[in-house]
Amino acid sequence: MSTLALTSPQAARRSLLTLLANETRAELTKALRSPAFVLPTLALPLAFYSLFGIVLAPPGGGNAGYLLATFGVFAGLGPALFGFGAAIADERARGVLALKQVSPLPVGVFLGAKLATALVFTGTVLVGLYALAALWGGVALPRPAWLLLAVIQLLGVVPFCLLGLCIGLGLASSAAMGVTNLVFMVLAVLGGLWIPIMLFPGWMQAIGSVLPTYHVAALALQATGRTAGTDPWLHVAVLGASAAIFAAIAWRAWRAMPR
Amino acid sequence: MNPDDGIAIDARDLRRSFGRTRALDGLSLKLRLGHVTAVLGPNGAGKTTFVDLVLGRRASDGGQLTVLGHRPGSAAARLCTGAMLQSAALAAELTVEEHIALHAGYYTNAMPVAEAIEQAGLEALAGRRYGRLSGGEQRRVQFALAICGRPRLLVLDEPTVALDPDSRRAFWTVVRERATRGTAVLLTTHQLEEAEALADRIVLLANGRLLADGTPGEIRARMDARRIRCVTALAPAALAGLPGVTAVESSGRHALIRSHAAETTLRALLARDATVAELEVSGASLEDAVLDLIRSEAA
Repeated sequence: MSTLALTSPQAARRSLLTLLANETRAELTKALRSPAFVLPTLALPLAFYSLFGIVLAPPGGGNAGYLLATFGVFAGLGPALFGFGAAIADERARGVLALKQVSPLPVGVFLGAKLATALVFTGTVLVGLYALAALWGGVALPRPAWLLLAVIQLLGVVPFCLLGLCIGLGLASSAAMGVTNLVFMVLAVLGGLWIPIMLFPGWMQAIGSVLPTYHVAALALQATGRTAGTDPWLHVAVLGASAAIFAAIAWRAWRAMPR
Repeated sequence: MNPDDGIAIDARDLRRSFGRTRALDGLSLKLRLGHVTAVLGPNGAGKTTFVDLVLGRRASDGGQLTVLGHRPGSAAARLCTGAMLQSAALAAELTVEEHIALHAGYYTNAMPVAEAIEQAGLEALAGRRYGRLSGGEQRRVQFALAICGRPRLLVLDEPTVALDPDSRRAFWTVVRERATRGTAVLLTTHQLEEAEALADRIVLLANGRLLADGTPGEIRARMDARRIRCVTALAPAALAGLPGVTAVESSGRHALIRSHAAETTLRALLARDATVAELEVSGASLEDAVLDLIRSEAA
């Protein structure tokens, strides 16, 4: 049949990549044309880092280096949670998700484009953050450490995206925005992204230590040469497990949804 | 099943319940390529459920359904289906052209973007953002998305609700043209006028079952009933005996007479009862006609 003109596996692969690129470009265009959403997402981590990591930090206190690790995680939290949580709930309510689902667009490409968009935003903020840290924060790291830090902070958005997906698919759009904001604040503050977790009282530390943000931040801190947390593989295991749990919940919500 | 046998949708004994409600109760229906089929029926008749099953948005409880020989909702089925859903508020930030180009890219056999824009009558609006369009213009963009992939099955779920009369007629022309080129069109509507203007075939659903199935002419003949409301001295049995009368009811002081030949009925009524007062004649609505058909089924 001529409508199934996927003649070679290469052609099929290439066309999936084209679809992903087109869909991602559309997502980015949408975001860039709604500056009210984009500017805070991009500027907030940079502004906070400048303030707490550089301007207000006691000289030689190491704040710039510590907060580089944790604010880099914070940089990915917003794009991931809001791009998947509030945005998908909204698309669901407006019937856009239904239209995409009955179209030939593979669902993997739909989600892949959202992930790519979150990564582009996170990457953009990370570039600014690293520049601030290196130029004004006095942070000096060997090149492989910068690279490892970037990989951790970029890959770290995946569990947050999956958590956002649970919110976006599971909740009504009226509830999703509020819940996304709440989850965002809890994960940022209790996960120790703004204030080091060891400054918290014990019970708050206990809550913080089960949050995925804490574990991504622990890995990022280790990449910058700090001995925060414990065995890195433990953190990786916790993150893998929480990603799997979020994925399972999202899958259930997807199946239960009247499409 | 071979998709080239001219059948676009093949439904056999399709069943779907929501709780205790049987939305589809053993529906069997075949839709042919190149034909526009309008599915009519009162709310709750099963129209939307049927559309959802065809598009793979819901699963059936029983029976068989294929879309161009494929499982509904499968990648292969979606690749040859275009749909205009009842409500779809697209992203406000993208332009008309960007929306259509993005959607056309999903298909392997899409028409050029300019052609889709022209067919939907959006030439003057191509560069405008979706959020700045009127309701009718937005509906036309959604129509462009439905046809841009040159689908072999076009599903239109109450497509012209927000359209002005001119756009509606232009829309009908394009839909007819797609059908002439071999596309099967599944149209749900509340408007009898739309079904008559567009459809080769009208399928009437009620309570999840097929009630009537025929050309618009055949259906109209069954629906061309009028309602006469008046105060009369004649007994219901006498009214029922008047020429053309199909049903008689009473509502307070008034008699409600349904007739398939209102003029003849009126002449006879006025000749036999000089006291007739508060006379009203109205066209039976589609709802009435459907109710009539349901009643005649039950009898």
